Order: sequence, then C-alpha cells, then structure tokens
Amino acid sequence: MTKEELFKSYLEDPLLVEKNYISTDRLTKIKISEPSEIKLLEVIKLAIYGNMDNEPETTTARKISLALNK
Amino acid sequence: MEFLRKIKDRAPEYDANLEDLISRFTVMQGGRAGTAGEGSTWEQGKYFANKYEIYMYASLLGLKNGYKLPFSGSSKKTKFIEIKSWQPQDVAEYIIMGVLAKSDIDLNDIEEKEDDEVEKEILKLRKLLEEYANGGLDIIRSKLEQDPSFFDNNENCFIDLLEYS
Amino acid sequence: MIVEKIELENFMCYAGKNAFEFTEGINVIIGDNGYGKSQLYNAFYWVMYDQIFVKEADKFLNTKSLKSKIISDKAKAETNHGQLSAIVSITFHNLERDNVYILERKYTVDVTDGKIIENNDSEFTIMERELSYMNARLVNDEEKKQSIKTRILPPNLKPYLWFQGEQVESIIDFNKQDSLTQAINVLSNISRYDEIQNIANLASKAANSEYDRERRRLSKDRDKSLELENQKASLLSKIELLHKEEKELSDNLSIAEERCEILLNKTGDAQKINELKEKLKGIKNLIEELNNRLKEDQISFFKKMFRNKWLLKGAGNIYEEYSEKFSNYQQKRLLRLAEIKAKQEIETKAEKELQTRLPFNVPEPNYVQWMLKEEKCLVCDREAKVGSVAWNKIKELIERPEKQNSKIESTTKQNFESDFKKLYQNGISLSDRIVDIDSDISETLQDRMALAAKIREENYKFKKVEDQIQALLSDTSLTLEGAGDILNEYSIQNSKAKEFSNRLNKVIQQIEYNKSSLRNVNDQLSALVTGEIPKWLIEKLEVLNDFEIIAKNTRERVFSSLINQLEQEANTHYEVMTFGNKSARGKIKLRQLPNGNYMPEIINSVGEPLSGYNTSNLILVKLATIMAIVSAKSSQGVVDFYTLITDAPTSVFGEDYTIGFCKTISKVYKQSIIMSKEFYKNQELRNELLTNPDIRIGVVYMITPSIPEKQRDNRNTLVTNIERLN
Repeated sequence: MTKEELFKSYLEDPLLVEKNYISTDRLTKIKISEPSEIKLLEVIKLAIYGNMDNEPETTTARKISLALNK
Repeated sequence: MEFLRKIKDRAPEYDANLEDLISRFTVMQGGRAGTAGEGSTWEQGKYFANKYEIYMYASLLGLKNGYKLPFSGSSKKTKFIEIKSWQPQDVAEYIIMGVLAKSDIDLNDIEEKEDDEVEKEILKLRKLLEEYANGGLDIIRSKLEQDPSFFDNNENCFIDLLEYS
Repeated sequence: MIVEKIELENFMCYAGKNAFEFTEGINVIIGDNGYGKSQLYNAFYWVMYDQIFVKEADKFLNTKSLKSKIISDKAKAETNHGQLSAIVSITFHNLERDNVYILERKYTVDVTDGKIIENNDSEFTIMERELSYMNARLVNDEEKKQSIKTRILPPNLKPYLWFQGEQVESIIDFNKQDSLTQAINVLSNISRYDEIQNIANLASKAANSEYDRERRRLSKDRDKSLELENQKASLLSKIELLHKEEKELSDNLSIAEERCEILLNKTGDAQKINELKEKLKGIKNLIEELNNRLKEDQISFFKKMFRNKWLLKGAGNIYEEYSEKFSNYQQKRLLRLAEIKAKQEIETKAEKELQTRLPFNVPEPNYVQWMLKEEKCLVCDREAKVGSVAWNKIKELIERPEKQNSKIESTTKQNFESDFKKLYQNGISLSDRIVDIDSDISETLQDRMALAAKIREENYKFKKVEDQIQALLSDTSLTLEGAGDILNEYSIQNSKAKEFSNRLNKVIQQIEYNKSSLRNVNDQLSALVTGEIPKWLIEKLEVLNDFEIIAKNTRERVFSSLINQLEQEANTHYEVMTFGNKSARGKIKLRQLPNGNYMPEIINSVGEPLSGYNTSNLILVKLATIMAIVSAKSSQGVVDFYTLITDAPTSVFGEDYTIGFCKTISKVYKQSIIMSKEFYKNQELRNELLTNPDIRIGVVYMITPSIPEKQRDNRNTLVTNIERLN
C-alpha cells in the first residue's frame, strides 16, 4: 500500500465533510503531495509519513504537536 | 414590588455540616452550586435535581410542622443560589409567604420604616427561612439516622415524608 | 514453490529409506487410522520447525524433548553398535526460477552395546541448486537459511497453509479479536492503521494535557484547579479500567452466547427451537422497552414533586396563617386610610365652609397681599388685624389652591401592598391545588405499579419460554447420543451468559456515571478560567480530537471492508465445496457482534440464518475462510506459490463433502498434499478421486503398516509400505 493509498483511505471518513474541514468537491482532488492549508489533513500526512518511514510513534506525535503550535 | 424583589435577591445559607446529607440526595452539578439543566442525568438514590430543590422541600417541611432550628453559633455556613433563581417561583413565593406569616414582622408597621430598617427586617426574614429550612433538614437527618432503610429501599421516600408531622 | 519429494529414513514408523514424490495438483496419501499419515505430516513439520505433534501429549514437542523416540523402533532394534540417524529431507522446486532447495533435518545417536547415547539436538541443513541441473551447494549463511525458509512458507501464512484437521476449528476464531486481526493482516496490512491510531491517541493526549495546563494557568483558584485536575486524572484512569473490563465482559459474553448457539444447533428439533428463540428475543426486547419506560417514568415522577407542586402537600396551614395576617394588615390599612380620608374630608368641608363663594384667583393675589399688609379689607373697609378671624379669612384666599389640589395620599414611607397582595393571591391559587395533590400522587403511583406489574409478567413469560427450550433439549437427550452433555453445557453457558450480561450492564452504567462526573469536573475547570485560552490551542485540541476519531473510524472501516472481501472470497470456495449437496447449503455471512468481533453464520437467500446447520457445515465455513485468507491475496484467487499441506481435514466433515472439498482444493492451490482416510475404505470414492475431470489430481499413495495397529506390542519390525496408485 502506498502512502497515497493510505492517505486516501483516511479521506473517506465522513467527519471531514460533516465538520466542514473540506468540501466534497475539493476532497476528490486532494493529493498527498500537495500541501493544503487544512491542518487536520497535514496532521494525517505527518502520521502516514512517520509510520511508513518507521519513525517511532512518540516522535511522530511530537512532530504533529509542534506543527499545530502557533 | 420592592419588598419581594429585595427578599428574592437574598441567597440563604445552610449549615456546612449538612453538606453530606444534601449531596446524598441531590444530583450534583458543576458550575454554580445548585444550578440544574434539563439534561442532567438521574442517578440511583437521587431525588432532587439541585440544592435549592431540597432546600425548598426542607423549608416547607419545617414550616408545615412549625419546626425551626437555629444554627449552632460556631458552625460554618454555605451559601447557594438566590431565591429569585429558584424554580418554580410560585412555590418559592409560597415559602416566602409562610416565613413572613411566622415572623413577628408587623405588616403595617414595616410600611412606616425607613429603607435601612426595612433591610434589617428582610435580613431577619432570611434568617427565619434558614431556621425553618434547618429544621426541615434536621427532620430528614433524624429520619435517616433512625431508619436508614426508609431511604434505601423506598423510591417514594420523599413522597412519604411529606406526611411527616 | 512446489514440493517435489520428501524422503524419510528411520523416522518414526518409517523404517529404512522411504520416499514420496509429488506433482502439481492434489496429492493424496490414503491410509486408515494409525497407518502413518500423521507421521508423514509430522515429517514435514519436523524438518521446517523441529516440532512433532504427539497425540498422547496433545501438543507439539521438539527434538530435545523427544530425542531417540523420533528414530524408528525397527532401526533401533537392529542396531547394536554404531551410529543411528533419523533423517527427513524435503525437496522444494521453484518452477519460475528453476532453482531447487533441499531442506534436511537429521538426528543422530551413538549406540554402544545396544545402549543409546543421546545427542543434544538435531541438525538442520539446506542445500541449494541455482539451476536444477547444477550441483547442489550447502547454504552456510544463517541469515540466508532463514530467508529461504521464510520464502518457502512465510510465518504469517503458515497457520493457513500447513494444518491438521482437528485444528481447523481453532485456526481462525472469529470471536477473538487477535485471531481475526491476524487473519485480516494477511490480506492487507491493517497494522498500519492500528499504529496510526496509536499516534493519534498520543498526540491527542498530549494536546489535552497542554490545554489543561493552560486552563490551570488562567485559573482564578490554582489550588482548586489542581484538585479538580487530580479528580479528572483519577476519573480518566477509572474509565480506562472500566473500558477494559467492559471489553473483557463483552468478549466473554460473546463467547458464551456463541457456545449456546452451537449447542442449540446440535439438537434435532432445530425448527421448534428457532421459533422459541425468536419468541425469546421478542420478549427480551419488550422487557427492555418497558424498563426504559419505567426509568423515564421514574425521572418524571421525581420532577412532579416540583412541577405538580407535590411538595406543598400538607402545607395549607401556612397559607391560612398568612391569610389571617394579611387580612389584619388589610383591615388596619383600610382603617388608617379611612381615618385619613375622614380627616381630609373634615378639612375639606371646613375649607368649603371657610371659603367664599368667589371663584378662583378672584380677587387677584396681589390685591389680597395688599389687604393683608394694610390689615384692612378693601371691600368693606373694615379693620382686619393680623391673626384675627377677618385677617385669616382674607389669607385663605391665597392658600386655597394648595388645599384644593391635595389628594388623599398614603402617609406611609413604604408601600408594600402590592407585594403582600401578590403573596396572598399566590397563596390562594396554590392552596387550591393542595387538595388535589393526594389524588394526583396516588394516580401516578398506580400507573407506576401497573408498569412494574407488566414487567414482572413479561419476565415470567421469558422464564417459561426458557424452560420450554430446556425441555426440548432434555427430550433430545433421550434420542441423541452425548446430548445429555449438551444439555448440561447449555445450562452452564446460558447462566454464564446471563451473569456476564448483568455485570456488563453494571459496568456500562458505571462508565456513564464516571463520564458524567468527568464532564462535571471539566465544566468546573472551565468555569474557573479568567481571560482567554489562546485560539490556536483551542483549534489544536479540536483538530487532534477529530484526528483521533478519524483514525479509529478509518481503521474500523478498512477492517470491515477487508472482512467483506474475505467473506466474498470464502463464499466462492464454499459454493464449490457444497455444490451438488442435497442438504441446504446457503451462503457464508460474517456477522458483526457488538464487541467488534464476528460470528460466522450460514444464511439463506433472504439473509436469514439457516437453522439446524450442523457442525460439519461450520467446519466447511471455516475451511472456506482459511482458504480465502491466502487466495484473496492473489488477483486470480489461486494460491500459486505455496503448498497446502493438511492432515485429515476430511474426517471433520465426512464423506459427503469430500469430493467437493477436493475439487475446491485442486482449483485453489497449485499444489496440495492431503492425508486422508476417507478414501481408504470407500473404493467408490477413491475411483471418483482418480477419475473426476474437475479434480486436478497429482500423485495418490496408499500406505499400510506391516503390523496392524491392534497387534503392535512389539514394534521392532514395523515398516510402512508405500504404494503408488497412479
């Protein structure tokens, strides 16, 4: 399973549209390689990259936490 | 409606020692002590949605039976929500009526008093309410002590207690 | 990779040198019980994993424990002096690459004067031939040996490719989360989703702590905040423990229910039992509904204390006391007013008398002032000294207006009449209602009691139906062998299920209670905050909480879609296996249980579970699923690279399905090796096996021991005869 495939499987979750993170239209066009301004999606990407690159889970969690700081 | 308004702005107090008794039968809520919302979940063994409800119950119990109990001088007191926030308001007014009746305040004389003296009388009223409520709570406490199973096994315990005299 | 041959020397009952050759397709070793089929299976297992399944011990043992027991008795008997070995070697051939691997395991002992000196362990070697015509080379690198073994049979696939018939039940247990997950993981890497879920949980937890710290920093009462946070922490850990307990109880409940289901299905009169089961379910639902109503009723009952003013019961005397006080007040008030009014009337009357018949402002005030100053009336020119009656009369002309406009006003400082009146009127209306309270209460109580009675009635009905089921089971115990045990076990499992269910309910309630306390504590914490929590932190918390939810849901979504995939694949195998069978066969359905696990069922065309399906069908379902796990990985649904090796699977489901099974096997696996006894006695079946065009047959062997099983006190001459049938 590629990173993109894994990413797409998370995009199928209804919560993204329900909570207005993203519109259904835009959802179909999203690619893992393109940065988006949607924080939740970037978090998912970080998790996928971290997991597939065999990064320790705590490291990935920390990266995610830092990414959401302002 | 000056008079009523002034009374309702008051928040009565109860003896802090009775806190356990009160919380045993009351669904405890967060935030301001004694506030309740419709969404509160009912739990086993709880009969009152919030503190002012049990306070109203106790006041009526005391008033019906003419049982007022002054606070012991040293005890700590806990304040809760003002009378104007009690629900239902008509029952709250009934209670005020009862306390007014039992007090030694002369209705005609009080009309002759100055504002600061009226305040004093209102304070006396509040104190009297607290004493009747204290009495009612004492009735509940003594019943619990004398016969704990009355509350444990009986869902209608507070309904039955209405007949106390 | 194909298994080309297996050579056994002095291994268990295989004295001397023995060999089996295999081709693609389904290779069958036929023999009755105790003829050596299981030992052949053990030979495969011993080479790869140094394990032999010992029937008497009912477990796998390795060379270190078994030692010379592995060596053939005949060989041991014939060797007085020298070296003695048990050797098994398997030749694997990779057809695409045309390379060959020979895996060999050897256990050697020294014999001196008939006495065996044991060795420490067995030896394992791999020889490799890069192309089949080249010379074989020993593989010395340990890592390479491991990788060859893994390539031949990957550990995660092993349970589903090499197994014994008796194990089929347990190879995949749908009611165990780990067994399920293990199988699904073969299909597709679900563990990534689990890992990402962990990451989400870690991140969310950290964000929640950060948020709490900020809340504490902004709290107007640090000590209280700290106390509340401690409460929060202990509540959280309590909730976690309770969730663990919930899961455990839920799993146990599922298992007990599953066992009951299986036991019920074992009885003969499945139709009747099914009806009773349905009835039971209906009653149970009704009871649940009634209990919910009772609970709601309860809550509204307590609320009626205030809504319907029950708490005023017996408080009519309060009103009466006030009423008296109030009427006294009213009376006095009226009296006072009357007094005032009377006084004023007198004054007015006196005024009127005093007043002239002159209209207002006549004469004009300045003239009147002049007259007063002059102390003389200008009309009649008579004296009007200050203070005299005449002088006063003149003065009144000026003062008149004030008095005329004065009203009858209250002379009190406060006017509380409206307040006292309100209390009075409120008192009337409430005390009117007090009379009705008693009947209101008793009416409500009666309704409650009626509801409780109905619940009791339904519970009674429930028990009666259960008794009927028990009776049916005990009837069958007279006709079905072993059914007495079924009855016993059913009772045990049934009461276990009830107990788990009760405990589970309790735990769920406790979780709810604790969660509501947690909400309470959180509210209190938030209430203590002065100022604003930074927006980015609030957003961070929300995003990470949502991430946690998404990670969990996605994992579940992916998992169930894999289950669906498995189910579909299993059904294609199941169809072939049951084709042509007279008894109803239905379709496989993997039904999800509340605890997230699954229960395999056979359903009919409308989706209802088929009643009365027996154990053999369930075994077929499991077999079909086991096959599906590996076959679903390849796009054509065929297992190309791995060989199925299984000992006596057909014994579990009997002759009826044997041919169907063989057809499926030969379709799904490029090569399979089956040890079976069904073909031994049944000549017809054997012929069919050899001639059926739908079965891609490989090599078929018949094995027979030199000594019949019953006469094996002396095993020293035991050899196994191998006869190739095609």
